[in-house]
Amino acid sequence: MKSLFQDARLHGWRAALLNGTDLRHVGRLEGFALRLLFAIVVWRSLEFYPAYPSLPKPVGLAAWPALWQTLGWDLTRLADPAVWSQCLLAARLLLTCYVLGVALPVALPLLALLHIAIRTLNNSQGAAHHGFQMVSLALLTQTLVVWFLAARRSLARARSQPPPPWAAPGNWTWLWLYTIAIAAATYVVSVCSKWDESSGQWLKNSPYVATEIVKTHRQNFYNNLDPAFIQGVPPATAPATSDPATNRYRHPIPPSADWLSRHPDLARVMFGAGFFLELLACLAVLDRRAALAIGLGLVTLHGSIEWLMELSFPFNERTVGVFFVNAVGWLILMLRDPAWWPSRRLWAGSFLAASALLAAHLATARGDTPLAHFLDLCQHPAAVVPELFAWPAALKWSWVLLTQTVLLAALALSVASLRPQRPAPPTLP
Amino acid sequence: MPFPIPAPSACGARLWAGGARYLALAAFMGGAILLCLKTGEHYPFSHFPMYGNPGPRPVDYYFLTDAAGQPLPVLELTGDTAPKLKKRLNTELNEWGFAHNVRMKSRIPSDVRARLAKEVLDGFVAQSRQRGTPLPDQVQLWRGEIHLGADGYHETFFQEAAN
Repeated sequence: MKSLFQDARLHGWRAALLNGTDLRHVGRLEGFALRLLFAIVVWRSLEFYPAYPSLPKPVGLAAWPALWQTLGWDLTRLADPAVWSQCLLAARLLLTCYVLGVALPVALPLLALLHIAIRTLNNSQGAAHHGFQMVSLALLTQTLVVWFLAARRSLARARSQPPPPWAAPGNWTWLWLYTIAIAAATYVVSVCSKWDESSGQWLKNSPYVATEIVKTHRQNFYNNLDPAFIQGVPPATAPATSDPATNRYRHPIPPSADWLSRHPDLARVMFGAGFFLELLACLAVLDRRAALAIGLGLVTLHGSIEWLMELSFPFNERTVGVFFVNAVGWLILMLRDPAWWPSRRLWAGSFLAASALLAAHLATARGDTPLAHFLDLCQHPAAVVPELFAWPAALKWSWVLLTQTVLLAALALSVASLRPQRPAPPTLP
Repeated sequence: MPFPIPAPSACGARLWAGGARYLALAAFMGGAILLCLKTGEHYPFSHFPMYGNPGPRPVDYYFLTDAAGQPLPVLELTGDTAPKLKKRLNTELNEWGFAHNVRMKSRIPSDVRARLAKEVLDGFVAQSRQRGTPLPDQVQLWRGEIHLGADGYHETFFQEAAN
């Protein structure tokens, strides 16, 4: 693969943009789409600004005092709003370079450093937060990938040879694959920790996660005293009995926790499914079909946790949505390769199914029934991007419908592609 | 159309190319997993220990009230969520336990626990003043415990600290 303009001159713009994308590779246009969508995720995550003026429990970079003494600087400077607004200005410039694919060996490490620095300040307060690690690790991994590719291209240049196809400009496969790999690794780490901390008893004891559901609802209530987290029942304003330490802070038990505690075997099946999905996340690197299947599973897992525990990991969910589910990549593959272009029947079926799911979701959106939550979960993978913006409803739901149609068609094609090919019948002479 | 069968040499080359690609990815993921597990909570690395050891023992959470025991909106006033109350206190208790070779938090002497809880509460009071949304002059830190038994859930409450 040559530069975009050389390719466009030789093969036309369509081929120059779409070529390179197949089941296991990522070409130019798909690479651009992935970088654009991930840049939006990174930008949104940088908007969460923790202005802590000190580092009482330093972790990570903050735990290297010698480094900061040498630099004559420390991370608490980021707590100054003026400094942080300058950092955001720099982040905008760096993200623009990232989306355009320009100066990546410089832009990506600076972005990674900025992202890690501000979240390190947040996590150095004695309370670890686990909502941003995946984005930071993805930026760090992408830095390593672009450095490695830049080194390989430089070596080829020094030898007056063209770079190997996997390191050629316009081939974004490694960036895609290694981002999936690091994201998948974080889920496997979580499984290892569960196994280690519970001495291998996690699956057996998983029904007790129901108690944690009660806890997360209580904690959410005490964040803002929102009665929605205590089933809308206003708390008592004065002790109801002579013992203020027992009744006053008692609230109704969330129905999901109550149900799970009464059905431990079903709870074990549900939590066990999530456990094995996390364990198998590393298989997503196999190809685009595996990434889609596991990505849909992980987005559903996050959506289910959000529903059950009122605990969301929006940036993990979006990183998985962009790189694993990758609806844009599937659309580009369909446009590029006639073998992956869905038949009219499949398009129509996917569109009708997506429309039916969307209509049912909109009709039940205000409900709090399991069916309403299931229909909401069905929209999650298609809504990872529009949920980041306050788009008008018409634009948001059109985007969701289009994405959902592509994803349903991609799923059907993936399943069909796994069926063994029957040999052609012998032709008669 | 019958599936084209590549020549053995092409098969070998494809297998080698695919194998090398997956070997490199597996090595990278294995390294990343080990690094995260060994490093622990050093951002951006983490061993992601959330809900890692569910069991029949009670689950606790923390909240703030005013002097009359009326709950206070933790996020609104301190800028941090209610789970941070527990996380910060646990960090203090774990550090003290590590320094004094006490493995179980329940074995930490009550006067030490009270002192550490007061320090955490004071930290949140200072933080709320700093951000211009001060907590009331008198604040209490409460611990709620959720017990799951054969007859369902029970909750008990303990005052951990007050200023």
